[in-house]
Amino acid sequence: MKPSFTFRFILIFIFPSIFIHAQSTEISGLLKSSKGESIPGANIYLKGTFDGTSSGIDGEFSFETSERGNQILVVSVIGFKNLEKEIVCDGSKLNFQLKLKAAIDVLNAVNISAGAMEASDEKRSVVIKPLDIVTTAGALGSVEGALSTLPGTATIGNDGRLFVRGGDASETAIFFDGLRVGNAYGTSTAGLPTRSRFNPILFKGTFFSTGGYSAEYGQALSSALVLNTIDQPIRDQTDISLMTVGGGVSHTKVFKKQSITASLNYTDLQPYQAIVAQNFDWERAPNNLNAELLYRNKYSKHGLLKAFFSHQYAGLNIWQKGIDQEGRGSNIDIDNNYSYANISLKDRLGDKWTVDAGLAYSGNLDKLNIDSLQVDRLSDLIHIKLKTNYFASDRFRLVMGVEGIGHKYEETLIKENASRDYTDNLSSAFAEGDYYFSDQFVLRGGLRLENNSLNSQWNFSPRASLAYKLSGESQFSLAYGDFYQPQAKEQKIVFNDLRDAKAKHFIANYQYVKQGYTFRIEAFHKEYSQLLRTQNNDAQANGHGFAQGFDMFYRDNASFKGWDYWISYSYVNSKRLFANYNSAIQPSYAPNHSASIVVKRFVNKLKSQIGGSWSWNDGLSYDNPNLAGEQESKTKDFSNLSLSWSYLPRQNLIFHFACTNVLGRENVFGYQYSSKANSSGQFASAPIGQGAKRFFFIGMFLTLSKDKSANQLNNL
Amino acid sequence: MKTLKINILLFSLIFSSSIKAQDSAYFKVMQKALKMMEEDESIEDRQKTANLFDRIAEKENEEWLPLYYSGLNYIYMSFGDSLDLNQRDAYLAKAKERVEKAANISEENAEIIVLIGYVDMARLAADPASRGASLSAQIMQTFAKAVTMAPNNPRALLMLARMELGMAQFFGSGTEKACDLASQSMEVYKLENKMGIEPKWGQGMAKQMLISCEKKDKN
Repeated sequence: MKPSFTFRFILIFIFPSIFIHAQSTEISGLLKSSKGESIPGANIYLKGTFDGTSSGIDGEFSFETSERGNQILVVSVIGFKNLEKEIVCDGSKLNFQLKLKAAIDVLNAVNISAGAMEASDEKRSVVIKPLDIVTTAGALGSVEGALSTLPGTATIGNDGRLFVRGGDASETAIFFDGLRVGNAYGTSTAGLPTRSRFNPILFKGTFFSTGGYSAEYGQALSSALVLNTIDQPIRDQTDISLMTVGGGVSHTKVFKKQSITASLNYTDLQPYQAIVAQNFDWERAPNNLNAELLYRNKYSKHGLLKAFFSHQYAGLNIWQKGIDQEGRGSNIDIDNNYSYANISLKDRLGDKWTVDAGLAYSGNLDKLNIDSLQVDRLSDLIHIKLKTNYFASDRFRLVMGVEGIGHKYEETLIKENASRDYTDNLSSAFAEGDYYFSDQFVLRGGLRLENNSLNSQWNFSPRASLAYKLSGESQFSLAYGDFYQPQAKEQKIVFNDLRDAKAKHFIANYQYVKQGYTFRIEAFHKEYSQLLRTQNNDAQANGHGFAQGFDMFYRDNASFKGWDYWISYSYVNSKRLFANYNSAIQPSYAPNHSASIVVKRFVNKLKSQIGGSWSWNDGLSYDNPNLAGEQESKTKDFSNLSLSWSYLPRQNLIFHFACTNVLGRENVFGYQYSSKANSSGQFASAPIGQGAKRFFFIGMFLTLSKDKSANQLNNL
Repeated sequence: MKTLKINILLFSLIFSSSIKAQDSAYFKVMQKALKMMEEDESIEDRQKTANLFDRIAEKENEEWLPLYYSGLNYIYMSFGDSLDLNQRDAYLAKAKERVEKAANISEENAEIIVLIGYVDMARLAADPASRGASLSAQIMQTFAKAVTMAPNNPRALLMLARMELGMAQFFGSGTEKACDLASQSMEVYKLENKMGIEPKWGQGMAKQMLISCEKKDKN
């Protein structure tokens, strides 16, 4: 009889296992970093088994295994790349000297800080937090108001928009989830401050660049402001607000993977202006009705669809009396209808790719009545964009994308029944790579290629930056870039083929960040060319200029318990040969010195957050026809101290009080002059001032939710 | 014919017992790791224990418990006295990674949801001044979700109680709700089975919280 099946079975299966148990392999060794330092606490094991150990203080390790044959030894520890090594366990003693390569730790690695200021809860190198945008006194809940307290910005009190490093307001492009916003500020007229159209509560993070920014963004000479909306609201809630200037209601419904928020807000300054005396001659105070719809769908683990729709109606009517005019002067009536839609999708493709796709539409219609002149201005902007991120390794990341922007602008004279328009289509492609040589050193290089249909111009914009970490807390960063921007639409509509304006940025930045403290100082030089010049009824893109200077920022929320404050200072020296000037002048929106101080304190006993902010600049330049030269004069310095107080009697109820320009300073933004000289040969003048000495705000914000801790602190 | 039957019988016997052996090997190594965890004091000890749980998780990749405990160890590590913010965040990033993996294996598991909230709570504790405003509502929500899913989970009740207490102290309001939740959790802790490898931590924490609640009452 042959050996039975049973016997063979025992031979094959049971005997070897006895054999294995009889003889084990001892694996030992030493772990070092590539710099030769010992690595303690590493996890060392055979893949797919329980056999393993942790390395000791000196990086030494030793364990036994009963596994046989080819095995994979794995080493894993914080701060280093995993190491896998094929080994053969044959019962003999194995000893390994292993060297581990440092991993790039995204949390602590160097980051490009030149020109970049971020508001985020996640990242360490942020200058401000999203909540700061809404709790900064004097900002009155506007994004640009809060950002105006940061270095590199200038506060122009009678305009309200963002002015960055000697650039005018149009040089800052505003992006909503990566997509361009057209007519981001409400329509206004000369001397009336405007504000941006979006409620800061929509945004979880803000990326504000004062220069040298990524190749992903174009069409702006000075600055990019990138607003990123919240991913997913966390709970069902109803928010009700009641303010001296209006009220609003908003409701959020959260489903398992989807959520929807609908809000309606109405503001009207008419009742307020009936009580508080105004310097301006209002026929109808500014009023605004705004409806918003926000939809989120987290359709898969990494996939997120965001959609946002808003429509606003705004109106105002004001009398503006020029120095040579009689009576109430000119009557200006503005009716504005604005729609904005933004749909974006973010997803992952495998482990190494992410994709962002988006489509946005901004539609703006102004109906202007200036005395007997009736003008309609229509501006439509569509932006479509596709972007991919490729994470090649922990050292190398590549961003690539293509986008198209279509812009139509039309002006119609109603009575004359005359109209003119233009359409400009921009196509662009960009690619940018970040390479980390180590935790300490990163290099970024990018290219952007743009083509405009209207002037058939090709723009080729290289961007480059680097950052080097000097220590755990401090780093140094440099940036360079070429930037293009189409000329103002009011000129383009007449002179279709005007070349785009151009700016070159050079930036050097030093930053020191320790828990509770942030210090940064940045020097910059910006060269403008192809600026618009308008002389003798002609317009040519042959102006030029420069802006240079430095700015500083210091924030401290650790030295004094409960206190949080920051200080910004900016110095700008700017000269431009542009518009209808005959010589290079200092633009009126580029004060030499700007500073601000923001202070916040939460007082538990009073259940209150108290805040103050002070903004200052050394005055704006203006042209005095009684003196020789252009823009040769300067107003007195600008100063504004604002205070705010938020009182939370219950967790879901907030009372907010705010007052701007508490000291009632009479700020002057320039002078207007008579067009004719008087008998003594002088041109009479009148100062251009503020609409009111102070602005008071009182509001009540109530949140209704099952979760009693919910409140609208974010809304203030 | 007869031998074949015997063969099959033998085969299935050996095979099934080998599965059982594997099972109990998992159980045994988990028990060993849990015992280590109980005795751990230093960060170095905890690192070793976390490493062991990681090794178990690597092999038993259908089990959520090894990842869960590894994550919990990393949370404990982040509380170390001598650490700076970067180090705390590095440990908590590890914790988060593991807890999220556990959540992928066992979806809608209240124990894991509690731990997700605990990671965020530790992140808040690491830098309350700048993270308080943005994280506290989210953490509250996470614990509330866990309590809704498992109203009798003592850890969900306890962690919600701790957040409520923090909020009450911050806003200077009453601590009744927080203390009530803590005593509810204590009731469930008393009944909890202390055998096996399922989560059972937190009773000591609940006890301490109740002591401070009683002190408040007397004042």
